[in-house]
Amino acid sequence: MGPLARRDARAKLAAALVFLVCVGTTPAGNYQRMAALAAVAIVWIAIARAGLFRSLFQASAILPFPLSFGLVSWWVSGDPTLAVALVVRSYLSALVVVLLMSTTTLADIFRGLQSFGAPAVLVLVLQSLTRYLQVVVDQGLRMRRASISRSGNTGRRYSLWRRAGGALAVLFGKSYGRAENVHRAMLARGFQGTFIALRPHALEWRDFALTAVAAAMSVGAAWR
Amino acid sequence: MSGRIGSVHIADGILSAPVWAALDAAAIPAIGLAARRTRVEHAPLLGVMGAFVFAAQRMNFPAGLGTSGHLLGGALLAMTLGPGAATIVLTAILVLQTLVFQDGGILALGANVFNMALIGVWAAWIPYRFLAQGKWKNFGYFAAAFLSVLASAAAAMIELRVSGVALNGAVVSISAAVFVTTAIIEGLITVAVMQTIEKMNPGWLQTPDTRPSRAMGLLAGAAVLLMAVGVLFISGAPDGLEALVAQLGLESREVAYFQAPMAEYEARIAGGDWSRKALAGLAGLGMIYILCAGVGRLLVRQRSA
Repeated sequence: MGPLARRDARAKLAAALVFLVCVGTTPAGNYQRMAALAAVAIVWIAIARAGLFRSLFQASAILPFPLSFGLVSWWVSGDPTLAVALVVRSYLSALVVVLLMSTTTLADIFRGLQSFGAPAVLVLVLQSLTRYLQVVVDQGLRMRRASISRSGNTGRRYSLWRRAGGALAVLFGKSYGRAENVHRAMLARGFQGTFIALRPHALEWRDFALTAVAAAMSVGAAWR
Repeated sequence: MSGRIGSVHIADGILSAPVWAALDAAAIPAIGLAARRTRVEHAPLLGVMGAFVFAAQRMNFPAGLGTSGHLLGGALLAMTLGPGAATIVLTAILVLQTLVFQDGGILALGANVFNMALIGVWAAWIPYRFLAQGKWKNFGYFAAAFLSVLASAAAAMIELRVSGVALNGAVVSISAAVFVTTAIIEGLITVAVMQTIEKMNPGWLQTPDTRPSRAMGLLAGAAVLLMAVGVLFISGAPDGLEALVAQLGLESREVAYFQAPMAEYEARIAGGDWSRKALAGLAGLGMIYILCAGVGRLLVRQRSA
């Protein structure tokens, strides 16, 4: 576990937001600032021991969207500057989100969001969603396999659509039923509208220091 | 050849600072309002329904020419959970997609929430509210899903255009064709799913309280459609008012009677160009946050009084 993983989610979220604002307000064509911000991101990945190449690879998942709009923009305007800016800004932003997620658990992020003022019901929905995501996705995939093994992907398009629509409706019904059961079980166990945190967080001076140093580095890299 | 037709999640770094800041500021109070109208006890149900949308997006429907489409789910959630709860579930899905799947950006989250969880849900709810009864029911399901996707896509296109991404007529036409195809697929999948849900348990569907007129429904649907299609095509053209001013030669006659502190989205108290823009963005966010917090507290006080 790297040193960043031990820090409070709120400190990391605040530091990430400052970095993202710095990247998001970098004008097209200012390659010096983009390089400086990239250096800041790489330094923090190294400090976090998050694996540089793995992080760089994971962040590349964002590329299709900015690449397509960048190429369109280049084609229409004839100027590649904006295209480069779109790709670099998106990639750097994604890199920091990868770093944030590799050093923070989702549960901590959700608690951080709540302490930043996110509505309690939204945070509860997020917690329930992540808790049951794999269960429902697995059930959907099992139903899909069962449907294919019974009838294959053959037949007229209309019947394929009816079959797939029916499968989705059944999955909807099963999810609805599961949700009601979960709700009843939670009420029976004394659920009062909040999930109890096993490790309640308290901000330490190290967390404030992390945010201050990270923000100073981001603003320093962007200040020209 | 195989492909997949999906939705538009705007990544960070694409939208200009005034656009993402304004949409973040617009989305925050809207989500707050939707959260206020959603009961906390329903959170487990909404969470599992969010997981259902993720699972549904893994199930492909053949769309022809070697491509496949999948359910996006905004309209289905609006019709089964109601618009407020659907907004909360879709916001949760967008947060998770941004953080875990790198699908969309954190600063652009407000824009994505605005496009999909607000515009997408309400564009679906309006035709459903007016048409989902009697013999127009299936048309109502289709119109809800079709308009949901089209309105979301149109909003995303105009945000990109306002942010300075160059789009010409050809690009807008190709994008419009893709979006209309996606919207038709979403409409057809939604009709198939809704018909089966209705047979299994009609109680799972939201039934509007009153029986409003069909003409109003068609009018509302047509208005949303016109807006979405109009916006798609306008997004390829320059700002209409600015173009008119230029055509009439009125630029030289512009007189500023009042100098706004953040005109052209720049805080003039700061030194450099970047610091002006960054400061203006942060100041705007801060002002909206304070305003929302103040109005929220006032509402709570009024309710408890």
